[in-house]
Amino acid sequence: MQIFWHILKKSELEKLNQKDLKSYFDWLKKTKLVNRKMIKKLEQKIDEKQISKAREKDKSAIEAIKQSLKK
Amino acid sequence: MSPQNSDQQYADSQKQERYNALETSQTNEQLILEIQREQENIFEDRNKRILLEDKILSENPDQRSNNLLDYIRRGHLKDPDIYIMPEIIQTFPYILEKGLIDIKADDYDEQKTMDSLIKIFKEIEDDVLARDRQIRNFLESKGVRVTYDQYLDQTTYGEILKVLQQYLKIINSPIHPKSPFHGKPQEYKQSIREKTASKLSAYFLGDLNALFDDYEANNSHYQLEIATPDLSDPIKKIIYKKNQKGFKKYPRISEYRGETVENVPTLKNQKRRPGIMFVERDELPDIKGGIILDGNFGYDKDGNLVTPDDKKIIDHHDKFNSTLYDTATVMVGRYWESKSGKIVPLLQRKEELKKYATRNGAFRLNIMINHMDSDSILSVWAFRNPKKAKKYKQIINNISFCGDFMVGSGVMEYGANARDYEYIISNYMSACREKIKQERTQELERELEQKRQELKIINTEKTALTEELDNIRSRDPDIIALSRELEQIKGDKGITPKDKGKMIGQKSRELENILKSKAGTNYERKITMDRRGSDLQKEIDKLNRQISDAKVKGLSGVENEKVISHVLDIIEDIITNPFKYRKYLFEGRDKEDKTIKEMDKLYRSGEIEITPDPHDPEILVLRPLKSSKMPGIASIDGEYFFLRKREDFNQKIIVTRDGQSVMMAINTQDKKLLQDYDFDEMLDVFKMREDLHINENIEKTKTEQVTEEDPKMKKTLTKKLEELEQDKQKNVEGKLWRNRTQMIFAFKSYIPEEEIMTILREWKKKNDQKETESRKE
Repeated sequence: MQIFWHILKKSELEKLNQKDLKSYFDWLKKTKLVNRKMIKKLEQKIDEKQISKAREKDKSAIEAIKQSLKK
Repeated sequence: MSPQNSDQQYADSQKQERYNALETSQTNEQLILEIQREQENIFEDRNKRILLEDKILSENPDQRSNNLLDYIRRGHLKDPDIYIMPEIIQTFPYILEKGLIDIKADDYDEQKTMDSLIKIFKEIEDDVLARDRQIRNFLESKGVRVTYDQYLDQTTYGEILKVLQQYLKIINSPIHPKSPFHGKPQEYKQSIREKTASKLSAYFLGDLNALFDDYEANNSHYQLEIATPDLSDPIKKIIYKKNQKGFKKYPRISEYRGETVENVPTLKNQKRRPGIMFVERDELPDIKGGIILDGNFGYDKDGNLVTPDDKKIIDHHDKFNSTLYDTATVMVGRYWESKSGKIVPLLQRKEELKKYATRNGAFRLNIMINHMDSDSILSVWAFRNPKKAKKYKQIINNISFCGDFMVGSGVMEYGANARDYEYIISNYMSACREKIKQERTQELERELEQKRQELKIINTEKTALTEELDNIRSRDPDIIALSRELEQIKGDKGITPKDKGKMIGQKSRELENILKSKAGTNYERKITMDRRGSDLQKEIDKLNRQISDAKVKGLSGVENEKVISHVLDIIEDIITNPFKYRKYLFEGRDKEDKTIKEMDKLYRSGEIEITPDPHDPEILVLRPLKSSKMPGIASIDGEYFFLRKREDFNQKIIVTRDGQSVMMAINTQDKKLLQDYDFDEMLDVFKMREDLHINENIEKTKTEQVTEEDPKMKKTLTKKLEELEQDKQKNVEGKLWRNRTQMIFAFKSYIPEEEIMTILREWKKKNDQKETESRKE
């Protein structure tokens, strides 16, 4: 029977044999990896957004300088 | 990083982990400690992730659009002071699309935006209403009753005026000599007035002669100065432009003053309709003929769908949907309609329907359903009332779509939208079921109370009798002497236990006999009372058990048929008078709202996990995280609103893992998009893979059973094997994986999660490609 893992309490962990404990540990590590990957992606997204915002600001600053020079 | 690379990296890291574990030969205690540390890490990461998600969502223009859309469509319903005209709601997505709201601005303030939008909408509404009032008052001052179901504006007033001008022109022209009215001007005028009145029938009710008289005398007064709409604001401009046909006068719940239904009536004496039957799911009822709606008879032992010749199946579940994602209500409507769209009279269908009749010769069709929801009840009603069903076609079809596919609609003719109706019907039916359970319980409780009272009287009498007997026991010298003897025997250590038992028995009998003779009839009475008391207590215990059962036990077929009959009686009333049933509508909205909040709480607290599939972000996976089962969700609409509201969770396919159960659903608010995916294609693959995994499990368990020596474990393995064999057959009979409307369910699955996801991804990819190709064509 396939075991569907979730966050187990200590009392639940104590009922598991070593083989299942190891599989559970594997699952936890995999879950951690998935979470970390997601965090990385999200941080990347925020960085990109900030970079594009900064670029936008630069553009408008350059535009303002150009306009003032024209005058 | 490509998914393949990351997978490889993951696999390597796993190998390393296993190697490390072997190397260090950890004890279980050490492992548990490490696991606990890892669990803490997961929650720390998760909290970080949620904070980042929130940050992205708060600045995401799509999320801001989502929030606005959700508020305009649904959120405002919570505030009784806010009404948004349905046409404005319908136009709102276009306003967003046109970029008329600066949702990308750094200083974007959601509340301010909503407030200013509501202000604009209110101004439009006031404007529309003022124009309507001006025109309506003017016309009604001419002695006519305006019944037009739209708000009057320049266009509609212009149309009325045009008809009146034409009328004046005709009656002022000479009558043609060949006309039958030649020389009869009064009759001629009357005839023209009648024709003109019929042209104006959409606007007015009753006699229009006063209007004609006035117009003939004062037509120049009819040039009204109607204020033109304010188009200075671009949002207002676009709303007026998109609604040039005007704004309909929909009934408003806040203005409803009619009677309301606060409780469902008693269904004790509700008559069942002959020929409407509630049947068991997946079972072929033992009756001749019949038509099953919104359900079928399941699969036979070889896995073939049961399709008896004498029974008609009008269903969209499993493989019965001729057109993808129709509801049974739509299918029934189509069944009764000819190609030209007219209802084919029953007489013309008689020959075809004869084979489904209950008895040969007598034309009676049994209609069967196997569950109760909006679609099943509406399909029965539509089958029985095809002409009425055609009249309310749009409404009932939309309700059934909303119930089965969670696809909503705009506000319809009687002021409610599809979801409002769906809430009314489903909550009303559930109130009926509760009422029946309550009445069942009440009857039993009445009986219980009677028995309790009876027991009370008996106990009082028993106490009096006991006191009397105790009195005799304590005062009668013979009894006192015998009691002493009995005590002595009990305390005598010189007698063997066997003899002691005998002697105690004999003395006790003697004692009872004396008591019997001294107490007379009271002795017998006490025994009778004891017996009656004990019987009553047993009856009370039984009733208590029955009451607990009655509170939770589902309805019987007969009880369900009572509910169906009652709801069929009021369906038309619900359609035309939805606000009368507003209690049930508000109940639905309330459950929906609570569920949205609850889902958010469950996600943030880590009770449930919601993540995109790492290989296809258009697939969203929901699973319990802190326990083995998903927590109960009060409103499935609320669950989907929660997911749809969040830009990152609003994905095409939603997978819910719940222990051994799996559910996959298409998530869309657009009927047409339901067509993009066909679960029937996946059903056979799952059934095949399920069979394979069950077989593997059977083989594995058999091997374990052979080597197992512990009899307890052996017994457990035998049980497991039996369960596996049963599930194997259930899989053949379609009872493990089922395709139900826009969802595919595994009630129980042995397929490893990653394999399920791989099948799903491949199926989705194939369907996506098919869709792209068909769009190209």
